[in-house]
Amino acid sequence: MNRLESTLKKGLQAIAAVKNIKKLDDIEQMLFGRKSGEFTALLKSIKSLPDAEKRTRGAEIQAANITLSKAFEEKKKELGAAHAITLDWSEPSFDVGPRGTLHPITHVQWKLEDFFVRMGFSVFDGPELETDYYNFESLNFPVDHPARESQDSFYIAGLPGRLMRTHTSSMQVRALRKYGSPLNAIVPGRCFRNEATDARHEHTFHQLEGFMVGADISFAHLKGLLEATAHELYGPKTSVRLRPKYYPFVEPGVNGEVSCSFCDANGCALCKQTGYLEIFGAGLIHPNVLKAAGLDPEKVSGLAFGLGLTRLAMLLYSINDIRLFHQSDMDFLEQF
Amino acid sequence: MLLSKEWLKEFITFPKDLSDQEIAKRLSLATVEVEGIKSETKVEWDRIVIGRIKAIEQHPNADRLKIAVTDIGKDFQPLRIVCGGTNVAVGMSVAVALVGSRVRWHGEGELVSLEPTTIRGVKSDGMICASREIGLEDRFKASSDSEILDLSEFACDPGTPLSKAFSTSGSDTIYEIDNKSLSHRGDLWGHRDMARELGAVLSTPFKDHKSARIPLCSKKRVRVIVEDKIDCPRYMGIVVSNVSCISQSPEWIRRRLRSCGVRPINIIVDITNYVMLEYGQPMHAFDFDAIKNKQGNAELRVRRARNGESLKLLDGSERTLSKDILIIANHEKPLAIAGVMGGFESGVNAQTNTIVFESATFNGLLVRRGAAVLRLASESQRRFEKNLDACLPPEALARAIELVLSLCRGSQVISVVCDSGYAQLKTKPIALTEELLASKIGAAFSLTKAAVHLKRLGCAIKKERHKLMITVPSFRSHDIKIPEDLIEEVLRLYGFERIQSRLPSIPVAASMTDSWSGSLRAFKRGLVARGFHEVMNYAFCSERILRSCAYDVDKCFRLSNPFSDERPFLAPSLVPNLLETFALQAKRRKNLMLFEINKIFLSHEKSEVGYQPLYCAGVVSGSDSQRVFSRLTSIITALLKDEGYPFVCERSDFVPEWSDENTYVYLGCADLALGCGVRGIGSVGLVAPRISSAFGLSDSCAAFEINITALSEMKKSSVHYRVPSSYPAVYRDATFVVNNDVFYNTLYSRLKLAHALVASVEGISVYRGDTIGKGKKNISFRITYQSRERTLTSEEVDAIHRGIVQSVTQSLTTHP
Repeated sequence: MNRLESTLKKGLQAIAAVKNIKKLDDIEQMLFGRKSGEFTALLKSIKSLPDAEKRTRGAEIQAANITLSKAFEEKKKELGAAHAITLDWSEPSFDVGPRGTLHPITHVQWKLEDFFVRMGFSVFDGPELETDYYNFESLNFPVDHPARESQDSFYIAGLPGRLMRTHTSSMQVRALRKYGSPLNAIVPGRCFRNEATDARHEHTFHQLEGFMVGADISFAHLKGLLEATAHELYGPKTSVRLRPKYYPFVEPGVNGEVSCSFCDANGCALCKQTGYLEIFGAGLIHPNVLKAAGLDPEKVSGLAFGLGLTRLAMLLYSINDIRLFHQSDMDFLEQF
Repeated sequence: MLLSKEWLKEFITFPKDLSDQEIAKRLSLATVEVEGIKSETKVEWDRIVIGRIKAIEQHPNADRLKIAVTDIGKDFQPLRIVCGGTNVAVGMSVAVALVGSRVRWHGEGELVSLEPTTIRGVKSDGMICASREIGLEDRFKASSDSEILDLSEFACDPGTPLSKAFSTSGSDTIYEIDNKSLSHRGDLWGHRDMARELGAVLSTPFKDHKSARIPLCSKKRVRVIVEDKIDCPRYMGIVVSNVSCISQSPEWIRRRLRSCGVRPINIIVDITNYVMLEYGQPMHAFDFDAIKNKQGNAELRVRRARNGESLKLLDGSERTLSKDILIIANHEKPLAIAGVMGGFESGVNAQTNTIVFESATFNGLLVRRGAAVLRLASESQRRFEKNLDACLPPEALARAIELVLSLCRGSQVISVVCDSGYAQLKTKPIALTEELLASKIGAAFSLTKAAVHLKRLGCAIKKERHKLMITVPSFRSHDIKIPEDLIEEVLRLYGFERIQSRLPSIPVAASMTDSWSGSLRAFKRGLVARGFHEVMNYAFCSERILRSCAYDVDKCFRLSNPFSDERPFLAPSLVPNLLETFALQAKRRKNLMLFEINKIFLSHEKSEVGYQPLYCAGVVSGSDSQRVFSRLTSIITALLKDEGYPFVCERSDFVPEWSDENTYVYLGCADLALGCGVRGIGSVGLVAPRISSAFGLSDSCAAFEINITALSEMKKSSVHYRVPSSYPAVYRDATFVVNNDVFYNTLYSRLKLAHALVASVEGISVYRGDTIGKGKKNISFRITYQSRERTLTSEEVDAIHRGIVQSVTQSLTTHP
């Protein structure tokens, strides 16, 4: 291969491979530079060729010159076109419009619903305007229990024994009567208590009730389930601590606390220096409740637990005023 | 409730290695929540001893100071202490604070540590204390600031630690118990019973106090009449004379009362409070002379008040009573509100010499309701409303008499103990089987272990084969009735933390999840993706808002006791509250879009809780009502379609309250095959201008509501698949200028049906503007022509298209 052929081949290859205009300039300089261009040298050599070769060899060099110049021109066009586009990667489209937001309670509720559904629980809803029977009586509340007084519950005018449910537990007997045993269900929903409102109290709030009824449900199962829930919410290192707590519809009844994930149980403002956050109310379903549901307490047993969704959302997002959930303030809602 | 550790120690011995924090934690985990621990460091008597002044020398550099040579015991050299006490005298017994002790300097400020010191050039080996410097100011009143405490009457040997002289350490730990966690344990409202509980929790023996027997007296003097045993299961009374109510109770009683947050008053009131704090049994003392009848006897009648009767109470207030209130009356008038508060006239005062002690059990509900009606709260009522044990009054009475007789010199029991009597139900033993224990706990549990715990709580236990027969003490018979109750006791004392946790294994079964659940999520996600923000409003509506939206409040559920008179109604629709919220937020946000998914409340004859469907509702606004309306209908029909519900906008006779004729559409579906019938599931429309302006909204507002409950009861449509044509499609555009009253749908459907080769019609734009004339609009469509059998030629399509445009245009002029 003579010098002409190799210079031509090298030149064409370089032009084909180039991806930006600056590099193309460098190649042009290398081939056609006035002083040291490789092809410039070839063109200059025509003058000093013997006459006999001037026509043949000279023509070959001129032909190669045209080929290279064409290749340069085409490449310049190609790269130049791309170069002309300036993309602003940060510019949004205004056709699409901004997204809205879900309510913080929805986020927390869905997270828990998904968790329990994966474990085989059904999700139920229930009436918010309830009868005294499902809200209290079937749940073994004694007639003189303070919660049944009107200073604690909202009653409906003109309809005796009808009130706004004070807890989602009101679905226990309704669901068990409908579906029987075994049953694993959660009931997320809105509840109402006649309370004076302040930063920590609100008459409308959300709970999530869960219960399992079957042949051999035990306290060990309750503990296992609460632990699994705590791990889902706050990570696998979270521990659960139980303390006795009286609820008429469970026996034994407990309060479930989880180790505070914000301070690794060392004590902080959130857990009031105790290292623990009160999350659950739970227990084994009272035999009287099973009886009210038409089940035989000798043959089936059950566990029940309740979580405050509003409280969980407050902990999760460090919301310090419970009233914000129902104030529909855009400055609040837009953050979720 | 406040608990004094010093007091508890009279009944149990705390294990030595347990800190106050640890005790509080154990109690919290096993019984009730301890909310706080307070160390009473009012006084610390470490290194404070009794000294006897042996000699007094004048201070060389100060006229008012002396040097007291003080004997502090055989084993020590007498101390030379600089002292400014005006009453210091040779032979006097004094309290000597040694170097290193902590005293309250001049009775003020924090405790300070005593250091070796030199006063006016003379070294002082300690300090001779005034009563207020060591927390004894209540017991020993100094007549002047410079008087030192004279302890000569104690006759203690020099060197005796002060704490021994006063048989107390002087410091105490106060546990603050969360009252709410005690709500079902009426038996734990006193130190004695809490000590028994702590004994069970900490596995330390409990020693009950045995009061001296009440001296016998055969005189009647007091007669008790209980009108209704259900209102008052037991009432006991006794008369004691020569009680000298004017005197103060001893410091140890006053200190204990104060530690528990009760103000000392006089010796009789203090004793009733002391017994209440110790036994959990509230007591009352009447002034015998103020209540007796002409014959000199007291009649105590426990009865309901008569409507209109009135009583001046101890707090000075005059109360009008009613038949719902239980009272104690004498032969003529009310004396006290049973279990809540005593009367002013019948109460003990400084002149009282003879008293009647009351120790009784009242119906808890009656006491609670009475206190609520009268808006009164007291320590006594808080205990009685827990339904106290009727076996408790005699114990408390004996303790009170024991205290009075020992503390009031000359006092005397001058009547028989009058007891209304109480037929104690024999509590049947409860069987706790090994099998039940194991199945409830989820692991085998030894009956012997269970018995140990239950015994500490006061249960009598008989062991049988594979089971325990347990008799619960009377004070627990209210809350322990079934084997499960016993299992709770065993578990909490054994420790919940020691139970091995386990996840249940459950049979695989189809989910019974309510069918709306999926639609609910799809709606929430779909609306959020389109720019809507989710809000949660109250279920309660105000009358003003409902009326503004033209709802008939008489048809709404109404709360009998709303949290405020402002919002008594249950929402019959989500739209009213949503509009209120929207109006408020629209002031601060442009292009606001809000939605809510919640229940609404409609009355329903067949259901005792009415009809409570789940609704999805939303509100948007804009300056152009047509555009706002069109945007909302497009979004809603798309959402429904995504969920598989082929609803279309229709007209119907139903007009939602918040809209007007012709400015709304009904979301209907005529497809009977889908179970929709002609029933609609909601509506989309413009909010009537008179309503939106009532909310202060100037822009056009559109709202929608969809009944998700009804929707989920319908069948979803399935896709009818058609094989795509293998021949190319040809597109042609057509524009029509029509009057504003010609609807898009009219044109659309005419085009769609115009020719067999029209495969689809798609709207491109609707334009209204001055260029096309007033009252007119310009609608453009793209028509797709396609055959399933052959390739269409351009000329052929042109001809069809021309024909269609022509005939549709013509039809509009003849049948618009």
